[in-house]
Order: sequence, then C-alpha cells, then structure tokens
Amino acid sequence: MATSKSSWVKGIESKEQIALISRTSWLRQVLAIAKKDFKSEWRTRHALVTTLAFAIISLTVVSLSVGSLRSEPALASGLFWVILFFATIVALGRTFTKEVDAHTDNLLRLNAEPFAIFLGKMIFNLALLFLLAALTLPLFVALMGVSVKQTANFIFATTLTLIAMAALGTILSAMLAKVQSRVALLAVAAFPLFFPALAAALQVSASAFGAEIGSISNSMKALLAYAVASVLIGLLLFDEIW
Amino acid sequence: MVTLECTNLGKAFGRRWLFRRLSFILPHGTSLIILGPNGSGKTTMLRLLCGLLIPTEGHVIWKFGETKLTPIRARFWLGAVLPDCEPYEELTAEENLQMVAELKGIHSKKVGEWFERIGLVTARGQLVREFSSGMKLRLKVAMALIHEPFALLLDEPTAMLDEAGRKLVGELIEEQKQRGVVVIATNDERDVAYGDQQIILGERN
Repeated sequence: MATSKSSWVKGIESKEQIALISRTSWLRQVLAIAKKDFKSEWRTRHALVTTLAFAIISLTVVSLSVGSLRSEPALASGLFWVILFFATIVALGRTFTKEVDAHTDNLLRLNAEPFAIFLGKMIFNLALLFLLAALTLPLFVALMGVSVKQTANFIFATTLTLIAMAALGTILSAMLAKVQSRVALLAVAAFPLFFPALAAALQVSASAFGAEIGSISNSMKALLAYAVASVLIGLLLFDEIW
Repeated sequence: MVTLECTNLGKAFGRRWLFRRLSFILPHGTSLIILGPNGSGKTTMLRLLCGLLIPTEGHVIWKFGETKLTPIRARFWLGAVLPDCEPYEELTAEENLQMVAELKGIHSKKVGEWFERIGLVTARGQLVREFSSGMKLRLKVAMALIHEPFALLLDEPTAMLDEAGRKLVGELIEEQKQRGVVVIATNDERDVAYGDQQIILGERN
C-alpha cells in the first residue's frame, strides 16, 4: 500500500513503465491532493466560513443562556465538545460532496491511488479542524469564564481526538457523498464512531477545566490507540469505499 | 505493446440492458469508434474500459505485453476525457494541469509544453470557471495526455471545438496510435474518420 512504488505497478515490468511509476511516489500524490484542497478552500472559503460561523454562533448562544461555567468544569467540557462535534460535521460533510457535485471525483479516481486520496483529504480536514479548535477555544475560555489548567494534556487529547474525527469523518464523507440528506446522515453515522474518542476527550477536558475526576492516563492511552486505529482503518478501508 | 480485449461484455442498469455479448480486440496502433444514439451506452462503455463502472457480465482486459490487467489496475496507463471528469473550476488551468502532472510523477516543464500544444498559453493563469466549453475541452485533453498514456479514451472529443481544435484532436489521436490505442465515443459523423474499427451500440439487445 504505502510503498515507494504504486500498487498499480503490480505485474508491469518494462523499464520505461517502472521509470514512470517510480517517479510517482505516494507522498507526492498525497501532497498534490492536499495542496489542491488548500488552494480550493483559499479561493472559495466554503468550509471555513460555514464551520466558523456555526461554532461562533452556537458558542455565543450557549454563553448567553448559561453564563459563566467556572464552577461547572464537567458541563463546560461537554458543551465545548458538543460545539466542536457539530462544527466538525459541517466541515467534513463537504469533503467529497463538493467533488461529486463538481464532477471532479472521477478525475481523482483516474489519477490517484485511493490511499493517497484518503491521506490528502485527511490532512486538509485535520488542518481545518485544528484551525477551528484554535479559534474556538480562546472564545470558549473567554465567554464561559473557564481556565485550562493542564494545558499540555488538554492540547494532546484535543489533537488526538481531532485526528480520529478527521480520519473517520473522511471515510464517512466518502461513503455518503452520493446520498441525499448527507449532512444529517453524517451526524447520525459519525456519532457512534466518534463516541469512544469523545468520551475520553470529555474526561481529559473536564480535568483540564478543573474537575476532580482522578487519573486521566487511561483516557489518554485510549485516545492515542483510537486515533492510530482510526487512521489505519481509513488506509485499509478507503480502497473498498472509493 | 498494449491490446484491449473485451469478451461478452454487458452492462445493465436495473433490468434494462444497455448492451450485451459485446466482444472485440483492439490491437496496438489502432483506434475504435463507438457509435450509437443517445442512451445507447457509449459513455458507459468508456467508463467500463477505465474501471469507473463494473461490467454486469463479461470481461475487460488490458494487455501490456504479456501482462494482463483489469481496468482498475490499468488506470495509471490510461488517459480519459469524460463528461464527469472535469477540471477544478476554482483553480487555474495551470494549477489543474500541474496537479495531474504531480499525481502522475511528470516533470513540471511538460505542463508548459502542453499549454503550447493545446493553444492555451495566454489562458494558463486564468480560472477554469472563466473558460469557454471549447477551452475546457482542450484542457481536459491535455490532462488526459500529459503522462503519455498507452490508451486514450475520448467522449465526444470534438463536439465543442472549432476547426483548429478539431485539427489538433486529429493530430493527437494519430500520435496516440503510435503509442498505443484510442477509443472514441461519438455521435458526430466526422469523427468516424479517426477510427480503424467501429462498434454501433443500440442495434441489438
């Protein structure tokens, strides 16, 4: 799969064919797809605007209704991840839908290996989710009156959760790209898959916001395992889905 | 040397068969014209040949020398101009062609050469959404050919082109036949001249 030579090469042995394939490293394909997505997003800003608008509006509404959550760190943790979960669904929903709607999905199919498409798309989605979290967190802290005490743990747990959500969301988005009501379906289908990561992230976040819930090392280990498993599952399954 | 072999090929959507029991061999250096009325399955046939669809019955085999590959495995050596294989409208023509070059491991100097070849040098920095349908078709042809594939699949290759564009496509088809094979799906009688073999779909089901 992720070898220096494309799996297309199986059985092709002539020197000129090998020469062509050897120039086509999988990393080059991954970067070409990610670069294309960054350029497209920079020109259109569809995903960024809709995702950030959703996060900011929901955050403002929640802060107006519940006020400060300094004394309720567990509740603050829950609200933080509810906002990130739905903003993620909005962001990831368009990953392959935009390709299908613009009739560019077959261009990718004909020119790139499935696992390169998965990794390229996942890198873009992950960058989008990092940006979303980086902009949402300071606003959340300011509006909800909470403070992040175990910063390193919080950042590590959030990073792992976003990796798992980007990997699983990329697969689900590909599966649902040609289905009607895809965003609603994505939310329903994503929740059970995101749940193990979200459950662990909730604990770490609650602890970081000041809740006394004991050791979080098991949650961190579970998050690490789940993030790695999510990426591996994506690499293994994407060929069948795409 | 590349050869395309189709054996008892058939495609149905639901209970409706578009075509059945279609067998042919396309040897290296030749071209095939697929004719037929709208809805007879011309574009579907091209999709079967490059693995975007799976046949309901029969087989498509691409032979590269002694090696036999299914259409999905052979994709790297195919180039296709299909209606649902569009360039990215929010990117420039150069960014689109450069992306395909990077995906195929082709040196970026080829990108410039191809813009000269298709007559879009001055439009290379323009967004594809600003292109006319003829300009977009020229770009799609360059995107299909930049890696010098062994097989070229064309759907209505001259439908939106002016005389100069038609001449260019004719030249590219002749060049491609030196390298491998060409399959053209068309309704335009003028395109029949490009073919060494013909298949007419929609006549027998």
